[in-house]
Amino acid sequence: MWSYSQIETLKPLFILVKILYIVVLKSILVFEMHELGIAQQIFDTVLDAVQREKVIRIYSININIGELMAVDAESLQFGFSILIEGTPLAGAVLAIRTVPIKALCNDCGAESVIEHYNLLCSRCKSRNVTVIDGKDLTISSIEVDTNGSHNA
Amino acid sequence: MEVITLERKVLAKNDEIAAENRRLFSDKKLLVVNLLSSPGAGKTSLLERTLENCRDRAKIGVVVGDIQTDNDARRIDIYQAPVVQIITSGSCHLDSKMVQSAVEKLNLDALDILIIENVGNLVCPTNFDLGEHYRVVVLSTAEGTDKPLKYPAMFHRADCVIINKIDLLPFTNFSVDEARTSISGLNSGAVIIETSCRTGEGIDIWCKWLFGKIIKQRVTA
Repeated sequence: MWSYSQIETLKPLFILVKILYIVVLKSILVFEMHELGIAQQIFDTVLDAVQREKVIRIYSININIGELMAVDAESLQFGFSILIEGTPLAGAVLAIRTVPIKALCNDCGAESVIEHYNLLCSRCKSRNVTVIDGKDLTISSIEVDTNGSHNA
Repeated sequence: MEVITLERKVLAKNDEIAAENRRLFSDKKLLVVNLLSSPGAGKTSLLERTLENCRDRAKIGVVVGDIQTDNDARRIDIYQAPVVQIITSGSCHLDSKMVQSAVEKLNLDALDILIIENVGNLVCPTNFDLGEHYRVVVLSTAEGTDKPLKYPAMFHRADCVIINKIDLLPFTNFSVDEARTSISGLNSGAVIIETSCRTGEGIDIWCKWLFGKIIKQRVTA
């Protein structure tokens, strides 16, 4: 029979097995779709910040998705919700803001909001335009409790 | 509660390694092309035709990315071009780190052009810069005229779009004019070349484009 103290000493082993299980499960999931790969990148960046800033609770992660990135917000939410289970980011909400595509006309200098990916100056109809917004995927901020703010 | 500002690009890490790759390639005066398309559009056939057409004039190295099998690398091997196969084991795109490790296996000094054949996919590889100088997207007439509008981000970032399988036009309802209009709408700077890897039509125009870029690379590098 196992004594209690023997089981206690095995505890780290159980935890290790659980971590391995989660890691394997996630590595399978991550490769299944485009948005999961991006969710993983967000996860890594935020986890890094959370550890650096001594965060004790995370409420939300604010991200901006440029329309030109063609990232599906719903799939990203789904992927992210699976990734954060059982991690320091559990419970965090992914707040997604979609950034429309904006272009600057190289001929007349006007700025246009681009619809249906038709890169055209809305004033002079020139196609000689440069995309100036809506082409990036950024994490703008995180809303958290840190050791400092919690005590204050 | 407090707000911590991060303002960090999600793909920052990939972009950093991509910039390192590009610096290395430029230092070696090597032209690097990222070749993209959906599965079956003709990336490997285009590579075969390119090797056939250009091998007397330029040393071409190849990196091929596939989710499984090294069939593509074996197809290229026949042309005696240096080739490295990346098997991504499930990942739907190449990233800059994979390319960084792959090119270590090549003697870059002995090459004029490196063509990276990405995983067949018009979505995932879009946002992953590999450190290439030019992006070439292959679209085939069998796929339908609406492909560029369905995958706008991919076509927006292309430097050159190849409309392949042009010999199949009589058997499809593909409209070259319509495809050209939608590609130019997304990307007025993209060069569009019509080819048939089966008959060889247009391959010389494509190789001319490639050689123009080698010259440009040597002048600016």
